Amino acid sequence: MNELLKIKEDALSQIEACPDLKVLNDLRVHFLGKKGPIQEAMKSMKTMAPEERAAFGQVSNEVKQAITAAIDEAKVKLEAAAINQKLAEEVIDITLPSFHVHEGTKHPLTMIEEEMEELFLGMGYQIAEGPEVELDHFNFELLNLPKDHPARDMQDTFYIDENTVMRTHTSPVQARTLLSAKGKGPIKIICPGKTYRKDDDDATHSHQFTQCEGLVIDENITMADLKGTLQVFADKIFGEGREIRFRPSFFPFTEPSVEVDISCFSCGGKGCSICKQTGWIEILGAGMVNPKVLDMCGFDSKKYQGFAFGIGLERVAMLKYGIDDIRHFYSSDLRFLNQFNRKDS
Amino acid sequence: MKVSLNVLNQYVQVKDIEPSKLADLVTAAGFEVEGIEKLAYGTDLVIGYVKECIMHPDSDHLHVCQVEVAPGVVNQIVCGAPNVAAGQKVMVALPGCELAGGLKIKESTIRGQASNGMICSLSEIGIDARFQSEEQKAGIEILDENAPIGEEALSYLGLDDDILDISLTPNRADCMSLIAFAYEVGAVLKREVTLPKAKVKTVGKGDIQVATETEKCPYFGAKLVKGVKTHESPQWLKTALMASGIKPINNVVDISNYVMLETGQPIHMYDYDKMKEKKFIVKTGLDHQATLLDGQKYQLEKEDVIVCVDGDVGCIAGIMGSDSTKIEDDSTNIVIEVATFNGASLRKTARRLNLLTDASQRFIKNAIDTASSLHTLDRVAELLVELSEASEVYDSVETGVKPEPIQVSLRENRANELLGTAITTKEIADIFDSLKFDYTRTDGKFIVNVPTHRHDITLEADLVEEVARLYGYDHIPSTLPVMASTTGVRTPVQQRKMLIKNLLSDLGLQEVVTYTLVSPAIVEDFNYFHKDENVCLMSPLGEERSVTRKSVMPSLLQAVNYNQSRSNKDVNIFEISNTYSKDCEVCTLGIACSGTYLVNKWQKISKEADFYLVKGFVEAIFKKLGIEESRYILQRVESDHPYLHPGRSGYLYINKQLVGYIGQVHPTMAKKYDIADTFVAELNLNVIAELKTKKLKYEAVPQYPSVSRDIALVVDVKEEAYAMIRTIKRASKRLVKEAVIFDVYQGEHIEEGKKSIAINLVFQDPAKTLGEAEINDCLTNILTALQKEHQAILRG
Repeated sequence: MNELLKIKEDALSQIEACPDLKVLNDLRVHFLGKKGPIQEAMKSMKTMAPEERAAFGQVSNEVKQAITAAIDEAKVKLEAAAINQKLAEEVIDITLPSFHVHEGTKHPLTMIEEEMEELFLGMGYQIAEGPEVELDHFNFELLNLPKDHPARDMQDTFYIDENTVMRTHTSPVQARTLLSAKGKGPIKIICPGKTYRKDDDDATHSHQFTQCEGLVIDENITMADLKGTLQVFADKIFGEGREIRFRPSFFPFTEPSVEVDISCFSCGGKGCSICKQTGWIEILGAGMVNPKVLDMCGFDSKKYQGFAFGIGLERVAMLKYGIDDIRHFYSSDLRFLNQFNRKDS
Repeated sequence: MKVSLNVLNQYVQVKDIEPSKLADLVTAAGFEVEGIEKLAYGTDLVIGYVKECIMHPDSDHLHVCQVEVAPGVVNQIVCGAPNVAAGQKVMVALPGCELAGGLKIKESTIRGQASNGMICSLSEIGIDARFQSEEQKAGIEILDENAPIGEEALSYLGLDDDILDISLTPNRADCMSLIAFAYEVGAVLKREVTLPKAKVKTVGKGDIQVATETEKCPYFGAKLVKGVKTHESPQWLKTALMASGIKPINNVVDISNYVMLETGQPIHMYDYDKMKEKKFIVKTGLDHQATLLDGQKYQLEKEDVIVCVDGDVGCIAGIMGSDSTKIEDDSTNIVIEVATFNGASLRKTARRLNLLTDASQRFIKNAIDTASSLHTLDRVAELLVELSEASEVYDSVETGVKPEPIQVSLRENRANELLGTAITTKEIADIFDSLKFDYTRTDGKFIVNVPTHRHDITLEADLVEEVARLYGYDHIPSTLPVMASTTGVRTPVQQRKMLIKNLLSDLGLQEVVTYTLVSPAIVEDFNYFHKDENVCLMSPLGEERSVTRKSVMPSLLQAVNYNQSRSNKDVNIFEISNTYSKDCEVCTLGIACSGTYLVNKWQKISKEADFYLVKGFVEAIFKKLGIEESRYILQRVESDHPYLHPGRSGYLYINKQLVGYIGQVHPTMAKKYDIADTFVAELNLNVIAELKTKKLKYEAVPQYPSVSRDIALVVDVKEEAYAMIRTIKRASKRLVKEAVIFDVYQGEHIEEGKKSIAINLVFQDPAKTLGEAEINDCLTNILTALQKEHQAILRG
């Protein structure tokens, strides 16, 4: 008996002094294992009297339980200590630089184009496309610009041969769309795309630029509808509360034609450097589709009417982002492109 | 176009309106005023009388003048002009006066002498030097002796003028005539318009004959005037021309320019006495050299329209007269020409000869009102009588036809239908009245007799525009179209292109937009998608931009160079663009990666661009588009490939069609473009974005566990991994779900010319748990096939 109590005392003191889980496990194996001192002591039970044996058995169980309990308790403590130590060892400097996931960028012109596309898709427009190497027939003639028309001077065209040009605007897509609709409305499209004019490249001119055309044709489309549509455009692209101003102008493919100004989004119309102190920013050209164009493109101008507008995406991007030189768009300079790495507010 | 308000005021009263207010009104009516300037600048400028002028005691060029600046008021003024003298009437800027360029005059002392004001030259009040004589440029302006002392100088000289700089739209070239413009101002202001009378007494028919033999001259009119005297023009005429940006020459030339401003009609004059036969014949077909009145020789071509005199060039129609018939200071008998020439033909000639003058532009832009030709001839003659003492004016002679006036009708409700407005017929009538349109009203229509100068009005819509611009676009309401609803959705091809842009930019690439027009020196580089002729511009701005590109890759490599030469060595970019050859449009995607793609320096993590990076981008696109691995083949390029590294590049084929390439830029190309090692890919999106792909469909999630085994094989270095993977999959009879290469090794312990490839195989049967025996059988089949087809040996 005393032997057992001595074992218990010995075990408990070793368990208490145990430094880590490995030693604790060794102690468990040592004291509670088949070759442990308790088992060893119990071998003497064979020779004991029944009463004595029962009492011995009871004590040995108590000793086992006490040791087990002590080990379990020590284990919880040591495990907690081990985690604490692990945590202490694993401290890092969370201010060191991150694994830099490079945020790629879309081109600012793509950003503007997609913004406009989403807006007009939401209003039920389709996106129409056409070739950049275009026939004179679509680029000029069907748009009421016959050969030798003085207004062709406005276009400064890159000719490929007598009948083929680099398109000077996205308007030929209008003509193509109308023709393929075979005289049946309604038509509701925007046509974004690259366009070309024979301009020397400088801060405000580019021989290649991007336009987005809009065209709505149905039986009762009015100039007031044009104004309302452009109002939505101005509010969504340049911020709510813009005012729209039409000024008479001339395009061969629309009649009447207007230049469209929006109230300055920077100063709200009071006058600033962006609007050159006028309070207004010229943003696009528009008008009611010239009945000659409708007729030439297979639509009955007595039944159908509608509006068209054309906007330069570089101009929108330059205004929105404050870009001062149109050549930036085409420079592929990463120091420029990197700045468009997030959503606009 | 420069419009002098003093000149305009002769036709319609405008001087009582603030110029900026007038500018806003005409801008709103379609005549954009781009600027307002003054002919001369100077506040408090008065007429002074130099009573006394002595040399400055302390200067060798300054004068000390006593100048009477108001009756009885004398200021001492120090003046440096060499031509100042006692007895002159001059312009004096009094202290407080502000001159051109913001110069402010103050009381001052110059080298010890008080100076209270400044005697002014024309330059000091802002008159353009090209309008001044040499004397005027060299010194102060001397006024006539009757100039009243103390009066405001600018208004006395007629220099108190405001000039509107107007940008005319091409349809309103008629307003190059001040009279036509006066009608517009009259309509805007609702004011009357007064026209010059052009009353002239003629003495008879004269002996001038005219004929036109070409349809490019639909009308030719002429008038003989005798006894003309050439001298300086009166001040009002000189000032009127200066204010319109024209240099005064002498009274005869000035009259022709003035009438051109007034009527829009270019006027040419011939010296009658230099003509042997008094006949003008307009024709084409001359192709010799001609000396024109500027003394230069010009080569004619047969299509040029020529006004012939005595069988030779009298004038290149509408462009410039010949040296032999030109009027000179001693010319006394003059023939005035007023004609209409075909603008397109004239433009060709003027461009070729580089003689696009103000006069020729009027023909080119169709600014001519042929119907008023006789009036114009009379107006010139009237002024020659008035200002050049012409003694005999003969009847005008003419040939050709003047266009018939046209009628255009406007349905009363049409303007509202098109504009979305509620304009009353009374308002429309008022607008037509204000424009001085002659019209009748029948059957609910306005039938308008279009004024002959309004070439822009031929359709009902043109009349709607007249109504709209004078009604005011500001009054048009703002509504949205009411129509059957339409669906706004991108086409599948548009969606796929957008998906690629989103994917690549999300993967860290940067989108660029580069020019379609490139140099012939690079147009063939990386061209895989075009077999047709190049698309070349007829007259490019320069060779650099003279042909449309057939691949985006050269532009991307230029972009890599641009950035690398600006210390940005890590360039990972892409572009989607159309490329062109004759009758062929291919939309391509280009990717170019050079330098580092991903990096975290302190963690020693760095992913350099390489072949497998770019291949990964391409496969990511294919995966996103639903193009399965089994549909495309990557095949090594030829060993003598000029653009791509032969050992590190491959073509992509789908259905045996070349749809792209992935590879490293060939070292000779890298040198040509001056770039570091660059890895590229280009895809033909015409094919890839239009490829039919399988519908997205759910597959049962596996219910039974998979088993993983690793094998290491020794094969010849030339064996390609992908073929081995295909062999494994085939031999496993679909039991191998995945075969992933996790190590490729050459070197120690491996025989020369061989490599070791380690592959992780994942076995899975959707119907049951695989047993050890089955897996071993399968593995044996796989190894047998690998041995047979690739001479692969299981590494011990």
